[in-house]
Amino acid sequence: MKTPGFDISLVFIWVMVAVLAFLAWRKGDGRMQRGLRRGFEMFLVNGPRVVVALLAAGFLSYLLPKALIAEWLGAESGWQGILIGSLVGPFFPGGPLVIFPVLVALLKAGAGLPAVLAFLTSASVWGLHRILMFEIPMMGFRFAANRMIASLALPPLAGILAFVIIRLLGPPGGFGS
Amino acid sequence: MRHPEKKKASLASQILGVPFWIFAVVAIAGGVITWHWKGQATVEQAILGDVDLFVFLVPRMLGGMILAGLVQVVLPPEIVAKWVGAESGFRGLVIASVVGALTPGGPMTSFPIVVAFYMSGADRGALVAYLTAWSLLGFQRLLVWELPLLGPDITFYRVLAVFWMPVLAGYIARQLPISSGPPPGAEVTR
Repeated sequence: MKTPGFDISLVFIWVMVAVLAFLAWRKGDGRMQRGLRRGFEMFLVNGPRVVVALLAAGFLSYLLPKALIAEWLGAESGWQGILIGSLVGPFFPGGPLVIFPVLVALLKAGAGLPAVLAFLTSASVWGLHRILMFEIPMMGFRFAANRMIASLALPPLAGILAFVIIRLLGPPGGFGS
Repeated sequence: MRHPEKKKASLASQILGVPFWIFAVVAIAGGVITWHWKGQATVEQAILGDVDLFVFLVPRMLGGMILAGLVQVVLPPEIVAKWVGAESGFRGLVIASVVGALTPGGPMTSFPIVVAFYMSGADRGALVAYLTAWSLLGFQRLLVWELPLLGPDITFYRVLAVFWMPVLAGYIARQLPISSGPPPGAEVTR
């Protein structure tokens, strides 16, 4: 895996930080300090979790049965990979802290981008733990059912489009596909 | 650190909270099993790969988190609610999607906002567009997690594949013959 120390994404993030810090500073009232502190505390809380999560994901990528994953979700898996990715997504608990290390492990183990994007989309729009913990209690069952039906086709569509985009633009850099 | 003692303690307990220990246990178990099955060289290789990744990750993640903190003070949820609550139609779906993508934080941030939107008169299509955009295109998740971990190429491909989906989901939700009464969460937000 390539790990450039410096690229456009890093510049973009810090330019945005400077712009927003300026906007907050212009309002006075200690808003900028509050925002900076909130962000820094978020980093302090999440940084160590990410370190251990990535350590775990690093080992898992060596332990996962690569042949099986390549067969189920690999670049050659086609429809089947997209379908499996869409079906397992909802059962993944937790936010980005859980899902992104899993994605890294899947991609390292040879999963294809279409299946991985179907999986991520499905975990995002159909994540059952979030629906059960937040959506149904706060918005009611009918609203949740409406939203779930409305987003039923999105995970396989994401997989199919990823397939089309790779055909048009070539495989993405980073993990290959 | 000039924080008062109490604040410091709560931060420390957050840092070393349950998620940290779950991942730590999985990491240690993973390391032991890898060592047992694949040998010491593989363990060293895995750790070296992770060190590379951390060096890449830390400046981006720090920037992303500070950005998220600043967005929360520059863009208060009440104002966001006003923008979407006032709109409807296709334009409302687009606005709801953009605002959803810009909303930072986890479900404890976004669902109270959805309830607030609902109470201020946003239709269910706009709310579905908002939630879909927040979960699929959340700017914060993109900056803090996706860009550093998956790289610019995969992030770009994914955004290209899904950016239009919130508007579609909102449109379909509007057409479905499922109406809902006032949300149970309305009491929570006062």
